[in-house]
Amino acid sequence: MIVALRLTSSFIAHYLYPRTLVPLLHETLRVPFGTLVASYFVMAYATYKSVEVATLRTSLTPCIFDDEPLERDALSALISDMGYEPLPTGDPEEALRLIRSGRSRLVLASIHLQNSDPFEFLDRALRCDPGVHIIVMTADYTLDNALEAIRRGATDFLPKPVDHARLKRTLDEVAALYDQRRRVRALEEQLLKDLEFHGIVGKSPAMLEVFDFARKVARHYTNVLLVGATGTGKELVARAIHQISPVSQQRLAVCNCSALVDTLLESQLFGHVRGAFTGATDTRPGLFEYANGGTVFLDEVGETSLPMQAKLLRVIQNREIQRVGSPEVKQVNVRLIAATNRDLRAEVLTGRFREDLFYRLSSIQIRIPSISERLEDIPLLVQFFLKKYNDAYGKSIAGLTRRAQTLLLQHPWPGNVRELENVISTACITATDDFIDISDLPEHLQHRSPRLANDEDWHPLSLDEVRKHHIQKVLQMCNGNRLRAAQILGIGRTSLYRYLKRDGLDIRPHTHSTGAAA
Amino acid sequence: MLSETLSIIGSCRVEVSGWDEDGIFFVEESELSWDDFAGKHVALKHMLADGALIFIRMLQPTSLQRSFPIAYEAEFIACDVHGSHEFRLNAVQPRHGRNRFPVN
Repeated sequence: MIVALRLTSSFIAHYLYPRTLVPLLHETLRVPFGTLVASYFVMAYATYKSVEVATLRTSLTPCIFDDEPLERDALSALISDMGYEPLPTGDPEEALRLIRSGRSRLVLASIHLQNSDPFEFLDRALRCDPGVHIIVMTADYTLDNALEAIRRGATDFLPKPVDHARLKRTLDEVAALYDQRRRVRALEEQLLKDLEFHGIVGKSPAMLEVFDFARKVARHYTNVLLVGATGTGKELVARAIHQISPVSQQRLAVCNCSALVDTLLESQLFGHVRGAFTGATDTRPGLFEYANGGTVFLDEVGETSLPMQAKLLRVIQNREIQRVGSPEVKQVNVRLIAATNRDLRAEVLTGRFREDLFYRLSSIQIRIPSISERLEDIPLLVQFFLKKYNDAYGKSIAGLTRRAQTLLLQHPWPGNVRELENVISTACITATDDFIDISDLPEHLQHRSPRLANDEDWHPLSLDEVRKHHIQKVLQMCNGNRLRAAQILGIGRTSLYRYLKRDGLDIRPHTHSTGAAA
Repeated sequence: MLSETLSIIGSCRVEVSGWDEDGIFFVEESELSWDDFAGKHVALKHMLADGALIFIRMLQPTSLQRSFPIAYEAEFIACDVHGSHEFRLNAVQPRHGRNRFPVN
């Protein structure tokens, strides 16, 4: 119906007015041409806006919750006349179900103030989805009760009988707000496309730095070391570097060094000849030969033994390999990307990692930040994984409820992006509504909620404020030593300076009487 | 649409991730084995709550794309001689709501 109306109005606006009507009126009535064209635009705009408003109204589907059937029906009829499509119910559980499912983001709830807990429905509805708009209506209006309802989170408090003009104004305001949110969501989707770097998403300064550096080194590198905690996406960065390198048309081989014992790792990397060991029934090339001319990615390189490190050093220094059991030396030309979640410098100091190999590998080093360093990327990552798992599981989940979003932002994410991906995947499997709620998240995440909610120190701060506060505290702890603070925060000194500048923080090193400067 | 099961004959190296019985996130590499009678099995150092969801990603050294983590429900079978916990993996079907609503 709306589509038909829109098509008709746009046909009239685009064809009849300018091509037929304007020249006709100009000829017959001698109305100035400019006036006619201006009138045409005003009318076309008015038609367009009225269709837009109608579209907004029909997509809002307000729930009318009233236990008085006659009043409910009257209000439903009134709201229908205003252009909305109401969902009337006298059952509070049904109303809550409509909220939980995301079908109604606006509820007109009639309450009786003489009840023992008149705002119980309001509280429950907002617990279901803190983003829902509740317009409370009552026949026992008092200013105190109105203020109490607003304080608890109601959008408006209307006395009964309802003033039609005021109700219409409130509904139209909410509809306009939802339209605004819808447009923001569309922009976010566009942003997601723009901010995707070869399957990795991020808009935080720390991640943009990674993308920028990866782009620069991809053209020229021979060896790159990727450093970052588990689950930060080191393999994805390695694949991205290969994809934008001059050898992108050549092969990429991935080897996880921690997954295999030395003998198997050697065989996988360098290959073996028939009879080299029990079970070697045929001659096989290793990954270095397979990816000759391309790239080899060695994940968890810090887990390799010292003898294996010596063999890797030989590949890097001399570009030569030897299959297990063969005396023949083969030349290979591969780019090497290694990754580790360990502090290799510390491993060198303790003698667990060869210093010469470390310096060979770390000539170009890229540090991948953990989620805690890029909390602002969480909504973007959530959106990215939602799209991925909606496609995978044939679902059409639109997003998360506010409280589920809040919970995700409060989680410490020890498993980083991999853990977040698993959470969204789990939620997409479990959720049956259009919005993921807390109950769809893994159980241990759900149990964190009450503790945090009752935490007296917790305040609803923006991510920028949390970051600013945290940096300030760490700097104070380090007595203003920015290098030390950057190490604790797990970010580069440049990133720290950028944050300090942006947040207007200027914590100078404290001067002590002992003269110990930080 | 993602295929609901991995097509594996014999065994292959996999990365397993999920939450252990204490709700701690873990990532572990293991061998996924398959046979006609017992289905898919994996041995893990971590103990899982019965029915826990775990995510299995095949480790393919020569694959062009990073493989997709597939969700399975873990069913505890026994502890093996090395102290690892053996689990049977059951395919997980995504739940679908009966009613599909237009989203506001």
